[in-house]
This record gives sequence, structure tokens and C-alpha cells, in this order.
Amino acid sequence: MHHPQKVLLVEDNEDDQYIGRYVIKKQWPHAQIVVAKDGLHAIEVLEEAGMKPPDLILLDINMPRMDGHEFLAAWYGERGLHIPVVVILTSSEQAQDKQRTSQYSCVSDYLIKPLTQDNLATMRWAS
Amino acid sequence: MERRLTGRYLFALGLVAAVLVVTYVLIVQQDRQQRDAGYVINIAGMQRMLSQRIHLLIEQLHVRPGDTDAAIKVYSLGAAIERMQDNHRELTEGAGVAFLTQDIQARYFEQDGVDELTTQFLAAARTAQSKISSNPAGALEVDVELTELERVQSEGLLPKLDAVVSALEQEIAVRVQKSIDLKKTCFIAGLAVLILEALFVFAPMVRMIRETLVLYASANNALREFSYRLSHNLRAPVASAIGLVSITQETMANGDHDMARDSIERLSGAMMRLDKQISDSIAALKSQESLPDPEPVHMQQLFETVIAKLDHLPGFDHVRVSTHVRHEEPVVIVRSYVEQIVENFVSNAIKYQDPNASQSYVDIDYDKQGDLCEIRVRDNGLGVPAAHRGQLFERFQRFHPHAASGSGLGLYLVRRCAEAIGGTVNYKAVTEGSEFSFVFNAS
Repeated sequence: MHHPQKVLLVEDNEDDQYIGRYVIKKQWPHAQIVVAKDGLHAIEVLEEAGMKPPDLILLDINMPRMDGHEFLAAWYGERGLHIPVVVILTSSEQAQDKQRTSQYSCVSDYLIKPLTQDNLATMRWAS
Repeated sequence: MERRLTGRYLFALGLVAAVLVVTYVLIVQQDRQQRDAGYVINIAGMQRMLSQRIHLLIEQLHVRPGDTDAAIKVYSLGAAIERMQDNHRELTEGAGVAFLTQDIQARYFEQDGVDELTTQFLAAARTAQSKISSNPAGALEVDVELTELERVQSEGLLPKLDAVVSALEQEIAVRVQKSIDLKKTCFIAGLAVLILEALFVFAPMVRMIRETLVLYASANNALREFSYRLSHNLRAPVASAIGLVSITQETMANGDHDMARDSIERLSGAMMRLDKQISDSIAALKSQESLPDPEPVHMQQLFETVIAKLDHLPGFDHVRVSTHVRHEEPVVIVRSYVEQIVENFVSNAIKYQDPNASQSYVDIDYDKQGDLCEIRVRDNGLGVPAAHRGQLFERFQRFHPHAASGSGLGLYLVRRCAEAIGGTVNYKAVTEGSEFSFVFNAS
């Protein structure tokens, strides 16, 4: 059973942020939750000096400014940095979205919204 | 498009059919003439043979009257004379008339020509036949007729018949050549028609079909993209709603009524977004249907209707909305489309107002110069980031998702409506805020 200490939720929709916070807190009561409103904001959060890296990133796909694909390409694809486990959290069931994200070894699972405790309990932690 | 294609295709088919019919008629006519020519040559040649046979039979009966074959020879003589008479009639009055060229006519009808000689020959042959038929011994008395037959033959019946056959052959050779030339002409004309059709009918048809296919493929791709985006946009609020309902149920069960109330409020917002998405999608589909009838509209009245429809929007009270109608006369327009365009411009100005502005405003301006009308909606709101201005009127574009919710279809619908009534929509960045305009022709 995984108990992440810190979770980064990258999500633009305020309702989904609200649901995410609630469900994560229920599943892992001691986890610290950080929310970024899009990919660019997530990079800013990750690059913050002295920031303890999260154990898990829950990443939405469709977002303004920088979407989930662009975030993965910028943070992982281009920089080649080691990043935590990324779980995609989206309402898109498009095969091409799933395929595009699966090329990144850090992406361990692909969850369809809404986020539930069952999702978090059963999701894969390694691709 | 379909009518043009059908028209061209039918024209091409008609042209090919016309060429085929003309060719068929000409070839059949030529074949008949050739058949007649063969027949005429045949009977002209036969005349020569018959004149010799008649002369020979009379001579044989004269030398040996009453021999064992006399009866047969008498019968053959009669048949030969009848045949020669029929042939002569056929050549001068029947099928042969068509081939009586000036040269052949001269050979036939001049003094001592074929016609006269044949008549004399047949008269002498009939007299001899009459004498022989009435009395076998009479064969001994046909010296005069034999002399007459020999005279006619010697005076040129045979060479003149030969000359007629030769002239007929020449005439027919000329006609056969003409027939070959005609068939060649028909063949070339047929090929020319096919080439012309290939160039001016089939090539444009193929081009039209290719262009149509490209259009359909593009429309299909657009539709697929639209469906994908639409399904995503519909699913997103539904997924949020499911999550929120679940939280509401849990928090109510736990007695956390504040959080339950918060979740229900959010649920209401998600449902409103869903409703807006569905309405805009229906409007997007409707904009592709037939155009409503235009009607005379007072712009001031239209603006007031739009403003009244938007007064429930959050933030409406913080915005000063003013109208400036510089041309009072009613203008004939598709009211629902223009209303939708103005409504979209004004609602965007309210939704994307600048929270830091001391006084937010929206100015709606209408002017008319000749037939050209312009509606301008100017605000001092957040404006549109420069990077996004190119895609402003495309589908599913949202530039301030945190300022307000939207389907991303609004300005796309505006463009569709404007184009449907022959107008254009434009965006102009101003020092503070935005200026949207809709220009259309009143005529």
C-alpha cells in the first residue's frame, strides 16, 4: 500500500480541484496536497527553490496555457529529469491521448474522471 | 454542385449518343448504296452474257431445228430474253437509275446507244423466238433475225455494255472511296468529340468530384474534431457532477452540512456549464441549417432586448452598458442571427471584465454608411492575449478559463452567423480591452 507524502494535482477546473483535494485527503489523510492550475504553473511549482518533490503527480490533459502533453514534453521529454510517478487524470477517453502519454515511462496509469478513492487505491504506481 | 455534375454528364452522354446515331445512319446509307451498286454491276454484266447466250441459242436452233434438246433450248431462249428485258428495265428505270451518271447516260441514251441497241436486239430475238416457238421448222426461217442480232452486236452492243460496266465500276469505286472517307470522318469526329468531352466535360467533372471529396474529407475531419471536443466538453461537467454528488452524499452522511452545501453549489455551477455547452452546441448545429427570413429591425430595440437578456449574468451590475444608435431607420436583417452576434459580444465583455478597472464599461455602437452597416462593441476588459488572436473565431477556444466558464463555441458561432448573412466579424485590440465589430451589407 502506497502512502505518498506529497501529491501535486495539476488541474484547471475548480470543481475538479475541489473533488481532487477531497478524495486525496480521504485516501491519504497525511499527504500534503499542492494544486497547480495548468502545466506551466506545475513547472513553476516544481522549480520552486527548496521545494520537496512530490511523490505523485495527478495530471489533467486539457488545460489552458500548457496542457498535460506539453507539460510531459517540457518537463520530462526535453529536460530528461527524473520526475515522480505521474498518473493521468482526465475526462478524455481518446485512444490517441492515452497513447501519447504512455510513451513516458513516468506515466504509470490513466484514470478517467471523476476521481474516486477506489481509483487511488487500485491505480498502478509503475508503468 | 450535384445539378451541375448531372447536367454536364447528361450533355456528354447526349453528345456521344448524337455522334453514334449520325455515324450509324451514314454507315447504313453507305452500305445500302454499296449493296445496290453490286446489284447494278451484276445485272449490267449479265446483259453481256445474255446477249451472247440468246444469239447462240437461236443459232443452234437454226442449224439443227427439232434436235432432241430443242424444247429445252426454246425454253432457255425465252427465259434469257425475259431476263434481258427485265435487266434492261432495272438498269434504265429501277435501281440502276441511281448510278446513271452523265457518262453512263450518254452511253445509254445517245443515238445507237445501249438502250436503242438493246431494244433492237430484244426485238429481233423476240421475233426469232416467236417463229421458233410456233413451229420447230420455223427455226430455219430466222436468218433475218440472226443477221439483225449479229448487226446489233457488231455495231457495238457488247463493247458498249463493257464500257457501261466499266463506267459503273468507276462510279462505284468513287462512291466506295467516298464511303471510306465518310467513315474516316465519322471516326475522327467521334475521337474529336471524345477528346473535347475529356477536356471540357470529364476533366472538369473529375476536378469537381476531387474538390468535393476534399471538401467532404475536410468537413468530415472537422466534424470528427467537433464531436471529440464536444463529447469531452460534455463529459467534463458530468464527471465533475458525479464527483460532487458523491462528496455531497458523504458529507451529508457525516453531518458536514457546510461542505455539502458547498458541493451542491458547485454541482449547480457544473450543471449550468453543461446546459450552456448543450445550448451552444445546438446553436452551432442550427447555424448550418436554412437561414431564417430577414425582417425590418430597429437597432436600438435589438440592443435593448440583448441587454435585458444578459442582466442576470454575474458581474453585470459592475459594468456600465451604453448604446449609440447613429441611424434610426430600421434595417432589414436576419434578426435572430444579429441578436446572437451582439449578445455574444456583450456577454463576453461582461464575463471578461477587468476586476482591477475602476469602472468597467461596454459601448455598443451602430452606424450605417450607404448600404454598409457596422455594429461595434467596445469594452475595457481583460482583452485577448496576442498569441490567441488568430484563433479567436475558431471552435473551442477559451482564453480566460479562470475568469468565467464557457463552451468555447461562442465566437465560432458569431462567425458562422455573420458569414451566413454575408457579413464579417473582426477583432481589434485597443489600449485597454477589446473592440469587436460586425460589418454587413443592408441590401
